[in-house]
Amino acid sequence: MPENSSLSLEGVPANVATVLSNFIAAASSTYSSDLLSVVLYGSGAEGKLTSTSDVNLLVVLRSFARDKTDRIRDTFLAAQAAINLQAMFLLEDEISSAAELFAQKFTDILRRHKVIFGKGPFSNIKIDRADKIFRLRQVLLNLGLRLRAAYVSRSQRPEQVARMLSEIAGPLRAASATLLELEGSPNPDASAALKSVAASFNHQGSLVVAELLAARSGEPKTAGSAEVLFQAIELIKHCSERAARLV
Amino acid sequence: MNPFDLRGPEFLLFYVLFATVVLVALSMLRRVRESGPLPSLDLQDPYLFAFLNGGAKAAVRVCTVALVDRGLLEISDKREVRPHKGMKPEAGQNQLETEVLRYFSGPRELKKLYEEGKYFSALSKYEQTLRMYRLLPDDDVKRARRKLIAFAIMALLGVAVIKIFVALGRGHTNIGFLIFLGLIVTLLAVKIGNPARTKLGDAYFSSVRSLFSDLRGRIKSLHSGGATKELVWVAALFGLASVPETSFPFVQYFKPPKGSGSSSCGSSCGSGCGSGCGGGCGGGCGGCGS
Repeated sequence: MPENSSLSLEGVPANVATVLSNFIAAASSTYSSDLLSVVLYGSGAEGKLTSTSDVNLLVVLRSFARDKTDRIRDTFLAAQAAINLQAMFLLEDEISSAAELFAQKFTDILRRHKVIFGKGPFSNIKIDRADKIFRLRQVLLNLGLRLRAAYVSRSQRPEQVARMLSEIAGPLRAASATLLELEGSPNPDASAALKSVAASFNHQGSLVVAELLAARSGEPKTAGSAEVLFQAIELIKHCSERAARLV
Repeated sequence: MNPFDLRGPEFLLFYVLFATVVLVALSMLRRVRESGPLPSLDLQDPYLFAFLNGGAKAAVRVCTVALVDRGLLEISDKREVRPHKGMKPEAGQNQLETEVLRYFSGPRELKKLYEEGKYFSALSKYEQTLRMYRLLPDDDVKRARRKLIAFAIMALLGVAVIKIFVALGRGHTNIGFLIFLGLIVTLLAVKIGNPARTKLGDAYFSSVRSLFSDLRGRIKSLHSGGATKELVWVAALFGLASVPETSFPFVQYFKPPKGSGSSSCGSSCGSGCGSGCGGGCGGGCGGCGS
């Protein structure tokens, strides 16, 4: 297991840093000049990984060669098992369209990322405000629909509720940060952004956020209460209404 | 003060203390000789690490679990393994999987695999690799271990034999307990002096487990179907006891049947390996976590 100290992995837990170094070393030697950059994004880039967090990686390639990819598969699968590594393999010439088509995701990536190998791939990326608003509304509506379906089918099973809360906490944090940015009061800390949005929701907003963040860290406070899930749906609706007012 | 002049119970107490010192010295000397910088193996093949965890048996067991999870093999409640209809050995992703799939080209008992599977050529390669990195004892290490164990046994039995002669010379015949104690400490010397892994192997295995420590927290959210290798890595590093039967019900057939021999596993590994027992017991739990 190589200890690659030249990578910018400060703030990342030691086991994650080692496994990432291992994967990047394998990818670098395999893809060679086809590997342009590797970007850590999401909570890993913020230094806020928990034991249940995904480690999100953007691997920017010049070309997606089959033989090379076959050679790093086992290393990737080991990293996926070890640290829940989730990688997006993006070609250099796809970055602009990906940013346009997944504006909400890339807004979050631009806000919270750390280039850990190669050059930063986002220097020429500018995401159109209209695209951001469109995707934000789409994401929030999708989250709301998913949660309503989950409420109907699973709200009486606390462990399922806790899992749902854990799953939506990340996207809702990112959506809150984008919402505040579009409203003109950006907050780069996604958790703080969620708290800020929830503060304007209702008197239970802070409680819901505390539950969401606790569930995300793998330590739900109330073992998945249906009331919290319902309030989360209402919070998302509140965010959707604010997003709908954006121009 | 001559310890051989001590009365029976006092001498037994002295002997226990003496044996403790000898066994601790044996353990420490072995550790010093077998330590070294951690090697740099690629984290690619979980079966290599299953072998390091519990030997050939653990490696074929984890491999079969993986193949059942992928739906290439099926296991019945009578622990008979059969190929899934249309399964081809070429579906194996590496040599061990291919060999296991070939072995189960027709219905066979799982326990037969444990007896016959140790001759698979993939396992010889794993063993060679682990010996090359000195994670398992090579010939030099084995020779050194034999010397250390011989010295320890000579010291332990030598003191006991002298006392027995002294006691018999003085007309005492109540030497049964000392003989029993001598045999016990001799067995302990063999066990402590010759675990399955080297000290370096223990340290390396422990470091790999720490890299995968987050995986243990996600175990309950794993799903069957073989889309990822998470199940295989959990089973290889932490043992089948760590795999939840609710998500992977077939795993129960790979564990010792309840009430038949599972106690030996529990007693020999439970405290030392934690939950690593299920997958690793039988192949050598000695030294886990040390």
